[in-house]
Amino acid sequence: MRDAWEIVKKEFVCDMRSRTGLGTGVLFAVSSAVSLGLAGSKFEASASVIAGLTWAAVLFTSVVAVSRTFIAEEEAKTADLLRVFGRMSAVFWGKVVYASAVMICLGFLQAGLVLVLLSGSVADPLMFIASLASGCCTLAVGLTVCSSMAARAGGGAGLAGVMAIPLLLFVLAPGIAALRASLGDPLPNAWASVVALVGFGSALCAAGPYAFAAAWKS
Amino acid sequence: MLSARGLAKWYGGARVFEGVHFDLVRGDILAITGPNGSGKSTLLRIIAGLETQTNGDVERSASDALGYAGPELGLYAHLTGAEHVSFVSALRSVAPDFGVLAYVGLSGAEHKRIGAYSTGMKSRLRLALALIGRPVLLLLDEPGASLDAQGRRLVADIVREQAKQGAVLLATNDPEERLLADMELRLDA
Repeated sequence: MRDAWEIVKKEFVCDMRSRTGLGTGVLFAVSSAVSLGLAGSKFEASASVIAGLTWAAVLFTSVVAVSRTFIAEEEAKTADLLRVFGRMSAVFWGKVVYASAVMICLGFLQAGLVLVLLSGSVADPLMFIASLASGCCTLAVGLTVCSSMAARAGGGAGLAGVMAIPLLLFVLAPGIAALRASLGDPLPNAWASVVALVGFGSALCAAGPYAFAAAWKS
Repeated sequence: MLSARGLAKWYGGARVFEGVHFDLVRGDILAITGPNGSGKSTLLRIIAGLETQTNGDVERSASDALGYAGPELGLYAHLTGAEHVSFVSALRSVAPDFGVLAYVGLSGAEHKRIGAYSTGMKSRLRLALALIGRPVLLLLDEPGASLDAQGRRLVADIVREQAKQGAVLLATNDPEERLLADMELRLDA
């Protein structure tokens, strides 16, 4: 556990000092939310429109912010340092935890800005938090796994994004449904969407280490 | 401690080496020599688990810690030397011993970021990281290539000290480094 936590700390320090990853993500999250706010300032957006725009923005923010995690390690050849000195599971879980933390911060920042700028309001705070948090973590896990495979294939962040998009589209349907409900759109069984997000994220967490191991060792 | 049997490496249709056999026991220092492109670094990377061989087997006790220093081992440009020691120590589950930085001649540079290190300083840091956790098997790829005379003496000290607690595999073309070894494996391109 301690070695996984060290990976998280290392990611945070390198991100803060290099101003990549989190910095780029914040810039994209704010600029896309402000653009949506400017575009929608003249009309009253419904809960479904706000939910759809928010998740589309969060999806692309995740590709910008966390898809380079392993690609940067391979480019700088620091992946070899992790392979020689670190345990594979510590590397995977350290990266996943950091990417999840980044995506939760960016997701709530972006959703908050979209809500304020499009004059939306939260009717069910618990569902709002649960849907965004579970969706952001699922995006983070999926992108981390895709990043490891793209990095070993010699591709860039674009390849990771292309690989991840079909996987991450499964986040959109339950994510939008749960967010709509949290914004006051009456939907039956809205919590089932949150359960679906958690279930999909759990499945990625269960399968992710195997896919990662194959890419990491190849 | 380490046994290689019939190791071969091919990149597509291009042979790098084949039929490599050797055994290493505690106290051994094996120099791997050969012209550029003969596969010295590749052989070390295979033993370190960074590449896979095309054929053959490497047998090594899983409990034996392995240290590796090579010119291609990346360092984090935004971390300091001391932070690298702390990070690698945590990955190795040992308490950080910052004295290793003084040992490799990086006193005063502990808190500088790697981006400000010279090539020689980076090589010294790689040596320091390889020594963390007192590895039983030490793999050194061209360790003195970018070091000054003092640095080359440091490499000689490290190799001799390591032979007391384990074994060393040294990929080199430097005649002085070659003399540190008691065995030689020559790879021909």
